[in-house]
Amino acid sequence: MTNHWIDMVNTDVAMICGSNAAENHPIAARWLQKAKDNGTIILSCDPRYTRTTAFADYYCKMRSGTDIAFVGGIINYALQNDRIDREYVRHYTNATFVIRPEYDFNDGLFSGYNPDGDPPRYDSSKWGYELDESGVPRRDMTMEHPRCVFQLLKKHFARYDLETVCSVTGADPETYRKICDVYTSTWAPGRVGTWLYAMGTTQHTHGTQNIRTYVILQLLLGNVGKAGGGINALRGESNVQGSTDMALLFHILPGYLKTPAVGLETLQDYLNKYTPKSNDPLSANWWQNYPKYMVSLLKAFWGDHATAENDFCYSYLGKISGNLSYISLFEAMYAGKIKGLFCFGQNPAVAGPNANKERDALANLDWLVCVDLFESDTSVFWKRAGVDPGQIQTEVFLLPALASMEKEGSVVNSGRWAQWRYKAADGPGEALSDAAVITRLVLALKELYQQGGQFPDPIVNLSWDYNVDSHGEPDIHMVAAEYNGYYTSGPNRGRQVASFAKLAADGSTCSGNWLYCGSYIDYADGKGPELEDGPHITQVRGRKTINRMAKRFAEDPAGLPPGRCIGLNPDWSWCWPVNRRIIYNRASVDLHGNPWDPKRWVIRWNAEAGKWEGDVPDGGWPPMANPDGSENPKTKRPFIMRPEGVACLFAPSLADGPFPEHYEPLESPISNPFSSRQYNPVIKVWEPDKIGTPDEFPVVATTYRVCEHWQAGNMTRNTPWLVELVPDVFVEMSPILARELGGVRNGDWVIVTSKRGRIRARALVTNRFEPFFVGGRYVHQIGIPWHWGYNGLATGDSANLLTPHVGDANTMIPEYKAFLCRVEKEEVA
Amino acid sequence: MAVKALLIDTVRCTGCRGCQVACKQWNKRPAEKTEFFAGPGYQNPKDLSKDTWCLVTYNEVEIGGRFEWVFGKKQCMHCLVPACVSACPVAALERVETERSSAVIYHKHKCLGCRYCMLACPFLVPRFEFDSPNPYITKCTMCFDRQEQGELPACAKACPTGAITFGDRAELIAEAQRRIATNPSVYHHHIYGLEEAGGTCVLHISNVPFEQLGYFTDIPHRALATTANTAMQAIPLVMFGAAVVLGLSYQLRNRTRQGEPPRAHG
Amino acid sequence: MAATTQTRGRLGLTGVILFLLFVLGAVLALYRFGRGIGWVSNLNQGYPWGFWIGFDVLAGIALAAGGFVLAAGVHIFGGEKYHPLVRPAILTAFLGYIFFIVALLVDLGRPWMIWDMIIWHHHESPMFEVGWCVMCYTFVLLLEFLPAVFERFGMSGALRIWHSLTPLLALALLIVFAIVLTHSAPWVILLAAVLVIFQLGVWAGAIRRDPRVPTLLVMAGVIFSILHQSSLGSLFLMAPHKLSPIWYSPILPVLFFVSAVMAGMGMVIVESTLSSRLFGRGLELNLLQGLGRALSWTLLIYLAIRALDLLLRGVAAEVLSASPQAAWFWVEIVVGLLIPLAILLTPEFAASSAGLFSAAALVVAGLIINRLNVAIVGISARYDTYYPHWMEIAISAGIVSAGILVFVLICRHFPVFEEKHAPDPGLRTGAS
Repeated sequence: MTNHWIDMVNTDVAMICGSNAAENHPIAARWLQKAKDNGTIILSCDPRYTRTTAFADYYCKMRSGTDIAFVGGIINYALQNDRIDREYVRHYTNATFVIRPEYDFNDGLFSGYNPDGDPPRYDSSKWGYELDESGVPRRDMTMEHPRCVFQLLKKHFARYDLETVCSVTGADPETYRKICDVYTSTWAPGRVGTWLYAMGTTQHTHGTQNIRTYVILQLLLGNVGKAGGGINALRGESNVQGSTDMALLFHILPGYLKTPAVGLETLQDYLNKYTPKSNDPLSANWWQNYPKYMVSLLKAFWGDHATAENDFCYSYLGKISGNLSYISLFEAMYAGKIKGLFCFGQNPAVAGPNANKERDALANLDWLVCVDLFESDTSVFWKRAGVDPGQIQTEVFLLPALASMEKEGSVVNSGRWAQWRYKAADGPGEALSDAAVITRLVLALKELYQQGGQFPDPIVNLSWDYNVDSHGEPDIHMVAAEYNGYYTSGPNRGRQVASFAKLAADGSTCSGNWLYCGSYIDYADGKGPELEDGPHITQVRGRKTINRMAKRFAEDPAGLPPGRCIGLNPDWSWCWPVNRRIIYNRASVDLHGNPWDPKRWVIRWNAEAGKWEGDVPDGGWPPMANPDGSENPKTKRPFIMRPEGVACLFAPSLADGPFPEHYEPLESPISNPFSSRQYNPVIKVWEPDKIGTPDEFPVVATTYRVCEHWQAGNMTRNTPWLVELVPDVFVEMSPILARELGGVRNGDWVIVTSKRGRIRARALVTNRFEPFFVGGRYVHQIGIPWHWGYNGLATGDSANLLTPHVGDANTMIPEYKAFLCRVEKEEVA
Repeated sequence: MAVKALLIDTVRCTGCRGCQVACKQWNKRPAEKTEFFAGPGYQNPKDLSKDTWCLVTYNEVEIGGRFEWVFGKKQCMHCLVPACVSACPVAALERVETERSSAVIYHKHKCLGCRYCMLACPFLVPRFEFDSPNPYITKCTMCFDRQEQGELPACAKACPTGAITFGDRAELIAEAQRRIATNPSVYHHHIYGLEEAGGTCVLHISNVPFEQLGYFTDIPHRALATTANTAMQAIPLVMFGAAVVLGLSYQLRNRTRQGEPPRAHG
Repeated sequence: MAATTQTRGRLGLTGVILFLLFVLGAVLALYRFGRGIGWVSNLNQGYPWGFWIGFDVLAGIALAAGGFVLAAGVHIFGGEKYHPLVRPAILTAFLGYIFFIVALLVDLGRPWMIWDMIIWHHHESPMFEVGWCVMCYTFVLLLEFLPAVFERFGMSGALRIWHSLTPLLALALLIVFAIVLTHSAPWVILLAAVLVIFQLGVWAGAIRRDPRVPTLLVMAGVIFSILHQSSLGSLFLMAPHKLSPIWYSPILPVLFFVSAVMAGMGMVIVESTLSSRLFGRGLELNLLQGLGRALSWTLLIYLAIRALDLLLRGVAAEVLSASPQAAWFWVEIVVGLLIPLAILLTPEFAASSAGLFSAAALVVAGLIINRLNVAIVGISARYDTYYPHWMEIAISAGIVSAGILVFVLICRHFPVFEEKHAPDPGLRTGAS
């Protein structure tokens, strides 16, 4: 999230699109309820009426997979009706930037498309900014230039008129217009809207571009950086934000650094490739500090072994050879190319798309290690119905894991707040924390590699200085302290680094994750209430330290300066970066540093004191304009993580285009009315002959979750009270579809089939689903919760037996949310 | 003496059922075997039972011509003058009010298993363990034990949106009235439990008429025991009157037959 | 005095059937105690009370009302000629109450706790009152039947003690009951005063002493009976929203009492007729005719009260509707009131034993239907339905069969029908 949970109380309009927030993030409902008490309007846009819709003020239905059209229509509405925050757009986005003439868009394709290649790709150099003599992008402040981003944006989205959008999405035109009107009412500087989204947005072949539509709209309305605004992803698990921060994804290193690819032989090659450059003196281009973070990371990995002479052990890092995302891994596993798999709290047999293939893929492993609280479906894949265990050679280990309440450590929520948690109970038997499992593995590997092996250095020299106890548990405080980082040499050797501004590229600092620099500091660097005694005062390596993640000082709403937005709570836990609660908050003020919205300001410039008040400013530089209106040369533009310094309406660095464009999902009931490109032109299609078509599979299907169950169900399907609430897998469908299937009644068994598999489930016939009038005819949609598997107290067929092995063009997140199927009433024998 | 109550605002309810599970967890009631669902939506189990003391109901309704999904909460209403307490012959059910807590609680060691409380309760709350050879009545206790420790009832504690609030009955009534008055087009203009059965300590406000939530709405607005109490209060009079009438009749009868020997029978 | 005749009273095949029913009922009752009520009944959360309450408790107690009606009629209101009917009626009542208690123990979930009703007092509960009252009255019935036992075993000394002690016991019972039930000193004192004055009058000779049974005992029996017969109706006053307006009425206690009197009399006629056939005794037809007249008056009074009650409460629409409840209402009225009245108001029928027997049997049947209507048919529980499980009926049948068998056994071995009233030795009579 750019903002945070409590900040939701500050909003005027909350759009919940691509999320069922009240269902799957009940605490979101807590803050939204408080907002409603103050008159906030809640909008719910979803293929069906959900528990969030019951909570919302307005509801608009939309067919799964049509988010770009839906939001594109709102963008068009804002542009056509001039409901945009012009000054914000002019100064804080790249709307004014002029694009080079090579940029073109025609019939669903941007310029630079190379259809050869698996997958096909764009040459994004064709989407470049026109640069002036100094190499700074040329800007037209009037935004009239035909090739300025603003005009290109208008032209691009002019095709997303109301009728077209409604005929693609199946939305009711009158309701849709109302939604457009209500949401774009936040264009005024004194009004703000927040956008909440989750997997409904991301789990598509155009998921990244879905989010881009929200970004474009929020920027046009001037909602980013303000209290009650922002682009707010509701993360799907309680600590997934932490896990992505710590880089449990193939393409990133901790702190969202990039994994080096084959071909980047030296550290300098790598840094050259990934350190962005900007010639604009007003652009902070914060990623120019990339080398400092990378070197500090390498120092954290290999400690004293990493020196300038050996490129800080850069050669020890594995280099990736291509797309090694989740689907790719399972495809490789299926082809027999992967020997072993660790599944830490992961249940691919239920959670992975195309689950039949993934279950079969597991049989090709030599060994599988599952670390989990209960025996998961994955750990017993070899004895599920329909397979002969005698034919499976995989050696399977099941290690017992501690639950989150049984160990100490931090959990990072969607708002980037890292909150320290303590152990509340002992775990059962020999259960270990993940940290202990990995530690024991590392120490055992180190010992084995001492005796030789292929390239032992990266393991043998790995720094693992965590006061490991006899069970293999590391001192989690030492781990946290290392994430923050400390000085490796000089007079401050061993002292925690106070902020990432102090990290160095010369090897004098180490930091396991530059984003977390500032979370665990030396006591001498503290200020304010954190100096008081409390559980947040700790000791690491003999020095008194402050674990800021453990701080619990709530702010007193009555003690805030007038108009200060509520909820920042700067002394409650710690958030990255540098405890900045609302990022890009320098866009919440005008060029003089005065808040656009004084009744809930985030930061404001105090001219006398010469500094900012309120939240940690997104860079301490003075406001952009001097009091007389002239540009202040000491300033920096607000979007400091972009080399442009401004937010991107036009995004040249994405794989599938600088502007979002509607494509149908891989499997779709209609042909794309916007262009002749049926689906995203640059996605990898693993099995082109296994795409379902509407003649065989006429019903649109989506998958989702229920409040009562959790993910692949390993925990919740083994908890009797939750099984009592929702025992069986079910398919939600409209009464009209139920009738068309030959009179399916609520509770009857139905068979749902896709190109990849079939499941048996109970029909839940409800008016919460309605057919969509799309492309001139009625199209039905069903929804299936995906929590079930063959193992546990409650069992049932997995919805993911139906979903396809295809993912987003940028992130490869699987398209769980829109595919085709066929539904039949089960004939009673 | 405290008169504590719960305010259930179904407009704020998202149907998450955190309350239902929190109740089971605190009271250590086992889960029931269920299949699919028992209501328009995800309702499970079908009804209150010996193991389910708090049940969220799912209801598909129409508000202003629009389809809506609304949720209700069934539990013991903790009446001010409970019919079950009046009915119970051994005072196993008792309404308790202490300095900081109040609830209608159950002393299981006294129970006869006569089930009169089940007949008397207008809300059909007390449930009986029919399948046990040593059966008890069970129902929500408004977490009286938690109240005594200064804690919230489990359901109120679990609720994320504040659909369930706990406090003094008078204050909660004022709050309910305030919510209805400030949102007159949203709320149905009635506080369920204000006067039903003589007034309860679980008050509900909602955006639909309460029968649409599956609640019983034909409950008299007086304590159920009122009429029975009248009959019970007549007892001493009946005893006295009968004694007088019988005594006088006997004497009258014998005066008229003065002198006749009593008939013996052989 | 004629010697005690050997009564016949062999039941033959009927006896075997009754015995088998008793065995079946006993086995099922044991099963119920071993596993729980739910395993032998269809009782559920919406219908916590069913056949056992409706038939064994409500109807059973009403049908045992003959005891106090006859006792009062003979010993207080001077209906001397009905004297031969008293002792069998007392025995019927006594056994009726004993077996009602057995049935209650089957229906109660935790029957071993029943003694705690003596300790945990919730005196405002109608059920508490019923419990105490029934306990006291059963004791009274026992006391009233003891003379038959003393006569059988020739225990004249015991009989003398009985004569002296029972007034005090009756007094004590009434006072204790009043204290427990009313918690009101003024009323207790008032009642005690009346009773003590009466008994003092008897001891002083101002009030004529009944040589057969102390009047205070009979009075206790009547008072207790009035209270609990009506309180069984009061139980349902707590459920106006559940019991159909066809039966729910604020005067339900009164209706229950009057119908109990009717049913008691009916039972006496039925029992008399059947025992005369079984034991080969002559039927006291003139007595039964007299009872028949009293019964018809009671039927008329009940009908009037009931009709007025329905009209004044505006329930006419319900009883004329097409619901099952209305149908059962009419069955109850026709079978239990209208047809018997027709019979009893027709002189030829009212004089014949067949006519009297049929009328009385119909009144008894009507009473049973009425009680089942109140307990089951009239109750609406919204979600659940209930109809008796065969095991429930079998257990009740077993209890009733046991009652009949014991009744016959006692009649065979104790002087129930012929009485030898040993004159009270302490009594000064004016006769020779």
